[in-house]
Amino acid sequence: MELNIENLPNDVSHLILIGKMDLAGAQQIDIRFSAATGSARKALVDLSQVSFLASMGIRTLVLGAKNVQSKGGKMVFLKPSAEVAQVLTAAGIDTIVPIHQDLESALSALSA
Amino acid sequence: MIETLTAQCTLDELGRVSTWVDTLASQWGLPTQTTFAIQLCCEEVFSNIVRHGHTESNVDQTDATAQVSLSRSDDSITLTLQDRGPAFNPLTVDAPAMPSTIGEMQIGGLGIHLIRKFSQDVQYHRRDGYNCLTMRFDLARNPQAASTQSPAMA
Repeated sequence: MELNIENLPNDVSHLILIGKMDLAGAQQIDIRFSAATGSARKALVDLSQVSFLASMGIRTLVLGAKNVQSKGGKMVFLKPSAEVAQVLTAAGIDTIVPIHQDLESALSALSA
Repeated sequence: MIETLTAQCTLDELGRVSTWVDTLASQWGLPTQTTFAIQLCCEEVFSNIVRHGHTESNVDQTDATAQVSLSRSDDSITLTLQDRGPAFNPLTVDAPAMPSTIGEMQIGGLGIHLIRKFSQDVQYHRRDGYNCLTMRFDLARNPQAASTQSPAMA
């Protein structure tokens, strides 16, 4: 699993996750994702290149969301696949961290 | 048609198990949604077997292998995982409450909750010292249809 980080305008941190967020994948990026969300006030978590998501991956995402929200920040998910979105919905995390299927609406949500 | 893989009960084996599932799913021409659901359930069950059934405290007392089986009928795939860990019926674990805030978010119990959501039926039984969890995935249905699990007595 990979994590790429881009800084977008208006203090948005674009966190691009790539690969399988199974247990091994989550462990590979856990620390860096935690650090990145710990310093982000507006976290755009890009799931468009995530092919798989299981409970340990959800744990990583949840801990990241807690990091961001504990500092009064916002986090959104961008473009999960249909299957990954189903996992997020089944876990109930989509009601706390909104899912957006296009960049414009995601950025609007972070700036609201 | 049934295929079985024997794996050591360590988290390092998850990758090999996943590759085996992918290979079979490709050979059988399974839809992407079905393969995803099987992979998800397999990962959740196998990692639970390792984490809860084969810890350092009991590793000398248990057979440290698990059997993962996939079988196919005309309209469904059946995934079965068996292990000789301590008796444990994961279907007795309560589903986590749906959170309304990030502070309420629970990861414990989430695995079995996902299994119920992504399979059409889940069954547990304990026999001859084995835990056996069986999940059915209907080939023509949305894999997120709720399952109708009915846990048997251990």
